Amino acid sequence: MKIIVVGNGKIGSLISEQLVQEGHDVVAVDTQERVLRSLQSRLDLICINGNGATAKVLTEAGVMDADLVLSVSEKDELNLLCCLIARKLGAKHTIARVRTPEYSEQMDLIKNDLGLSMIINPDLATAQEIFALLRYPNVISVEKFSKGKFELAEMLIEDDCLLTQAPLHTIMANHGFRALICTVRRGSETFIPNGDFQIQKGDVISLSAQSEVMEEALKAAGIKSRVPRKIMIVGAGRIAIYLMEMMQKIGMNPTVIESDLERCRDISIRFPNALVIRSDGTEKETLFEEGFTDTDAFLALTGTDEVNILLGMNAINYDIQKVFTKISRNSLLELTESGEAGTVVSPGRIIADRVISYVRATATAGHGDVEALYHVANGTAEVVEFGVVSHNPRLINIPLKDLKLKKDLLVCCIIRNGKALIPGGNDMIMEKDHVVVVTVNRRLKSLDEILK
Amino acid sequence: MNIRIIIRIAGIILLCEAALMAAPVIVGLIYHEPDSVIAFLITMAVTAAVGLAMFFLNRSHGQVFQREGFVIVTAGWLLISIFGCVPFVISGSIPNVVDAFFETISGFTTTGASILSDVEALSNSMLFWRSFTHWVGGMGVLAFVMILAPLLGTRNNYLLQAETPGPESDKLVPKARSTVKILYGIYFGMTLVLVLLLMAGGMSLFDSLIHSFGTAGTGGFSNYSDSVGHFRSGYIEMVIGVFMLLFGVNFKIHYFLLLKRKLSILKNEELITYIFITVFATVTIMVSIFRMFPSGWEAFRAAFFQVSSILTSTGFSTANFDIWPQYPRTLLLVLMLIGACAGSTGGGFKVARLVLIAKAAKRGVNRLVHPKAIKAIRMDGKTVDEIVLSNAGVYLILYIFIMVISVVILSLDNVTFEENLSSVTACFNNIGPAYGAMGPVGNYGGLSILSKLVLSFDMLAGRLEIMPLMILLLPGDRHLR
Repeated sequence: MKIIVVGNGKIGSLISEQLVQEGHDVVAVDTQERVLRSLQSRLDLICINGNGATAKVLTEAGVMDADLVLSVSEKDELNLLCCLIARKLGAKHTIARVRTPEYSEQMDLIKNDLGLSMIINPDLATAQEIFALLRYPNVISVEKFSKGKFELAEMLIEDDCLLTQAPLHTIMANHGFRALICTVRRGSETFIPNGDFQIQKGDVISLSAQSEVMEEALKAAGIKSRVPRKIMIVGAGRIAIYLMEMMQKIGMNPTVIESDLERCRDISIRFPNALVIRSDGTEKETLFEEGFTDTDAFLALTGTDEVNILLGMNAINYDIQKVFTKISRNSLLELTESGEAGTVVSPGRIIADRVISYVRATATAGHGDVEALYHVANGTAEVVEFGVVSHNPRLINIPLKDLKLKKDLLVCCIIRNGKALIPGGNDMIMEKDHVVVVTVNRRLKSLDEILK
Repeated sequence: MNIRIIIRIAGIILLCEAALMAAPVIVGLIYHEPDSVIAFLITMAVTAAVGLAMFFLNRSHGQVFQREGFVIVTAGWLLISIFGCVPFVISGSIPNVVDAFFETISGFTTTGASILSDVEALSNSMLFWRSFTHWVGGMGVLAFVMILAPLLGTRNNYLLQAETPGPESDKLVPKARSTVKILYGIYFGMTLVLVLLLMAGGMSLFDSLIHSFGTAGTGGFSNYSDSVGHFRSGYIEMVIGVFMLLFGVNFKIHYFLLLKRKLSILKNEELITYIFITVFATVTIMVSIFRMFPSGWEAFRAAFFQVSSILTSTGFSTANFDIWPQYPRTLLLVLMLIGACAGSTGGGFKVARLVLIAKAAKRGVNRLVHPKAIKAIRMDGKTVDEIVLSNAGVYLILYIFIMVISVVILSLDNVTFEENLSSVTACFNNIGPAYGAMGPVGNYGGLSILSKLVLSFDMLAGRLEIMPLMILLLPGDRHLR
């Protein structure tokens, strides 16, 4: 695909790099000659010096036949303007980075009016990632499909739970379990389980469920989540604010340490239940005073990477269970091994991953009936979304349990009239549905191929 | 320095060269030249074996950075020249190893300087190989290899930068490999048109291939001692003259004009200067040699062909310009120094650099009058980065250094100063014929081994635009890993 990346700071350059590695034709736009020079010498792409929110520069970058324009500069307004102009000039898809919390509340409005395909907010995405990892300790990753209508969560089964007690079909029948187990990774092998399959301790499973019921499903499965009670956050930037919003909803009340008075005031107004301490987070005395040693989770989210790394390392030394360290600069990210300073979260990397999976999905769309394609379980399994176009009488309007499906293949979701449905044996594929299929080691090009 | 990856890529380059030698083998089979065919087959086997060994003995994967890129390019060009000269030695066409090396490197660097006194004595397959090296070298050996084998994924632009430097590196499309494919596509297409046009003018297929290779690569090897003059055809001279100029234009312009139909690209400052130089030189030379020719048309023919041939660094000739008056001889020497456009197959200092340096000089003088003035230098409506300017300055300095040192070493050979300066100029700028004994009707065979090696170095330095070779000479940067 031909992709234009406007703004090549920390996040932009990481995205450009990944896109080049994926084999796309990338044009990088930035106003800083120095940034472009480094990109140009490292990566196989074209650089254009100039303001990406101008028609002249965008035209020079070849916006007319661009498949995707990504605007990820520091400035929200510039990004939105850039996408607007790019759309007008003929770009097929646009993605804007919008980070201001006030703007993010009106996301849907902006998105539709400007014809944006996706809005990325690194701070929000980072907060979401931390939040998910805090709440579901065993969850390795959560992927959203079909425009967020349903999710696929990968997790490690650490202890005995509901899922390990009986073969899958009895669990499904007796407990009204509303999620579907799509893949099971045991050792180096990945299976698509059938009804007789029994999950064991140590398996990595992926569960698909509608976004709304995922939490419920995980709870029903008895996957214990040791939700941390005492949480300490150092640095009350945007990420912390998004995170606290999520925490507030489920009644988590963190301790926040921030040195800026204004910010402390702002936070205490927004989050009345949080304990806001105005102090320098690197002062040991303050940390201990506020019960550093018996916190369950420690989050180093200040604006300075080096401070975060040191705070994280310190927290690891005091055996704090969960330590999250935010690192923004790509160079430091490569130097810091995960574990030394707790779980490293990088807004850039998180966003780059999201963009890449979006690009992969769009790039594969339009081949046959495939609308989107994702890789899960370390790339061993594929999740493919099809639009139903065929009238194959062997496929349409037949209950799934009567279909003669190939091995290692599972229909894990049917989207009908914009609603996701986790299918049981009696559900049928109907015309105009969208069907999501998960397979192992197989390239499906059309929906008919799922039949034997 | 990651020596393993360098050896590995050099191995790939040799494998590609072995594949290229299939072309002269076919020619040899057509013309029933068993000796030459055997010489090529032996060389192919040896080259492929060495290439395979270099490729497989170094399985380690590493990264190519700027420094490795420069070393690979230099080593690659040296290696293909060393292996490329083997057929000449084995078959006995050019028994002396140094001579054969000189001839081959002259071919790959598209210089066209020859040590042969009687070209026509060579077998057809040898002549074909000699000219074929022009065609491959014109667009770049590594670029050619890059098309055949996807080298090193995303990092290969270091290699491309090292091989086709120019004052500013411009890719046409984001991917280096796609850019190379487009450029080779244009190159191939233009060569094909040229072959057809020459055949329409009554040339045999073989002759037209030889002269098309020489024109496309702006090399200048011919299979006749009297070069293009042999055909005594105004049509052929005009066709080759025009095509030399076309191949001397930045290929970016061909791309935008032919494939993108963007006429605004014609406002390119380098192109305008290049056309101006051509017109000016042709007209003034025509006037000064007017009396030597029976008609104005013939004077124009000779002047235009020679200007086009020298400015683009090709080195074909239709007349012995060495016997022309002093003005055209001097002007042609100046044209040798200027060279063709950046991003073309031609050599020399490049018109783009000349324009940049002239602008920088103007600013320098201006600064004496307005010491506090800040003025950005613009080219084609865009601001030129200061680093680009400074690089052009550095290039000029190194260019002069190498010229001076080469002239001093060559003087040991006791050639006249004119022969000395002109042959260093002709080799360093990849022209070919110089003045005196090395003139259009002479050759470089009479020089000593030392002189031939120095001139070989100059040819390579000129083709790779100096920098890659200088990196090898930098003391602190030779650490091997």
